[in-house]
Amino acid sequence: MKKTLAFLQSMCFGLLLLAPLLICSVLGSLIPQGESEAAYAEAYPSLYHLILGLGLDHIFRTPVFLALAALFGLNLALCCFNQFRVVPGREAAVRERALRNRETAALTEAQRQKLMQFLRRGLWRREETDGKAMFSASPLRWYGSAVAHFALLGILLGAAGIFVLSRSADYALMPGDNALPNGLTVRLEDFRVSDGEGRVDYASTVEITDARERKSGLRDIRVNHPLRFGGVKIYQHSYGVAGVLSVTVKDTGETWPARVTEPGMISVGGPDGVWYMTVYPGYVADEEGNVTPITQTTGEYPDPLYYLLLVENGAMVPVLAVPGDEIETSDAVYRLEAPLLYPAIRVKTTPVWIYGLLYLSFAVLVAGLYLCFFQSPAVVILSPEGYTLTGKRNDTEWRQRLRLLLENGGGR
Amino acid sequence: MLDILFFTALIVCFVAVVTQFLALAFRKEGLKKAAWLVNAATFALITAYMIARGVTAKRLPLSNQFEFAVAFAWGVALLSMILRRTVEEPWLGTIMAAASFLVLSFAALQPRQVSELMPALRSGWFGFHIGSAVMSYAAFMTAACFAVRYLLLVRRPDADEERLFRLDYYAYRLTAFGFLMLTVTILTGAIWAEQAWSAFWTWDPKETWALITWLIYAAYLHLRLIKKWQGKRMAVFSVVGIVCVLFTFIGVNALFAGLHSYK
Repeated sequence: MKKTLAFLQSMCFGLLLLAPLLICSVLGSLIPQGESEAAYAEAYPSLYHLILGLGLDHIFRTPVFLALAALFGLNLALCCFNQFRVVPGREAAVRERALRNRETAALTEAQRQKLMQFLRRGLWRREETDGKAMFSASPLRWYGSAVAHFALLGILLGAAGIFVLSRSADYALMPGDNALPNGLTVRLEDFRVSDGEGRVDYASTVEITDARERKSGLRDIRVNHPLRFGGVKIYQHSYGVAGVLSVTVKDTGETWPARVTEPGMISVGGPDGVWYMTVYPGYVADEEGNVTPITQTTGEYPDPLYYLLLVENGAMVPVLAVPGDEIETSDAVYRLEAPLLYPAIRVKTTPVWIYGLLYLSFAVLVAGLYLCFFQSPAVVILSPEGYTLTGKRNDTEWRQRLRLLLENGGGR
Repeated sequence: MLDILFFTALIVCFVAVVTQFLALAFRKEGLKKAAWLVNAATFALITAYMIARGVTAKRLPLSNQFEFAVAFAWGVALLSMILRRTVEEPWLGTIMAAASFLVLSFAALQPRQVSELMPALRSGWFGFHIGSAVMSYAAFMTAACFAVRYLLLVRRPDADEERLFRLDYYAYRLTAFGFLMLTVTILTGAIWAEQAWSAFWTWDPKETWALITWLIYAAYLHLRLIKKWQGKRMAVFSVVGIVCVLFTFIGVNALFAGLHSYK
């Protein structure tokens, strides 16, 4: 049992786990994740059965990857609890070893001054023992590695918390529309793709009402500036463009608007109508009147161009048209209007404690790594004969640093 | 004007490599001083270019592959200047100047027009996230230069133990610094991603390869600090690490589409 526990908390086990985790990560970056089955069949005709069968299309959510991550978390947990357990004893042992250490290195007066200055600047704690000055690094330094491992464990726990408890949903909203997530009502007032200075900036103006009828007031959400209200976070997630047509029925003169976001048929009930394909942000027309659509956009639709199919008498005829144009069929007139940009907003619910745990772990990890690499612990005893240096077991770090410091002033 | 400054920096960087090489080949003190001056001029020119570009763009010049590459070369040149006096090792300056030149040459192949910052990049985390990535990559590259010098020196039968020790030690210190900076990059990136894209981590190819690089250097540091690996094995590890860093920087952008595709 002890041997198993020792292996589970060992660095060797951690490194062994890293290998399959690395392989999974490489595969996950080489194979696009979360695509449709048809996309894999098209991209990997001979391998897609294997890809789908092994779950390589969602490798980071497969039981194998999650089990590896869990084992890695276990390794980290055992490792850091063990470190916190042994550190106090290790510090005392090093101080005892330091007092017994007879490997004294001689110092010139200049080197002695340089070493003293270095120890003073580093805020090493000074104690007098038997006419010798014993300097020990701050007690915090002993915990650098343990703290860094503990923080990593916190991050893994936070990630697991998000995996299990966080929920998000996307809503495509037209101005005036409402979405009803988690007992809230989110109303979209307006959507813009440029700021006042003409820069591209996707922003939605929304108002949220919670279950107790408390309102957020009109608030802007944009990329990098989500809105937190009523226990949820609301993001400006993406945007789309809807084709807008006014449909007038010839027999009755009745007119109604149609907003279409996906290719599909628009008709007044009969077999004739228009099949909406897409709307382009602009076009280039040459001298002969040939039109070439512009397909790239950053969001603006300055010269929109509709691509439609006129469906009449069982035939489909491609049509390019601009806002203001009218397309007539046997039973209706379809007038093209300016397209409408609309946002997709993402509503996310994550318990606040997960944010707290993750942010705290992030800060602690950086502090732990700094202590670990740049403030490792040691005890230096200065005597008239010279100095002795005692670090952690088999520690060469301080030996190297002091050697360089005393020889040429380096070793920062 | 910006282009003239950039290509002057590139040419002066090339001259620095050649001068460093000649200074060592002919062992002339005068040439050594000249080599140092040209090296300092390269650093000054890249710095001036970055400031001029930043002023023109009215933002930190770190928003695309070109600007990142220039900053990366600047980082290597900066570390070369800082370490010049501490580690007086022949050929090391030449290797580092060559590394800087190669990164700048890669930058020269990228589109250079100054463009407006896209909405996703307009954040307070922009400087922290990309600035720490620049310093991390520069530290790893410099560590790899030390490792290459180590591997060249260790083959010689009369290799000086003291010099080898110094190269090995500084390669480790630079790797530790790079690792700390890469950690800051990943963590600030996660916080930023949560604000911009609603998720701390999305397994985007750049994120995944940053994690792979982090894990590789974590293994390096564990083997060094716990298993006491030193010398040749660590030098080889450092070279493997920089290949991974370069793949994360260049390969991922070239081969995969993702949220970090800022051309």
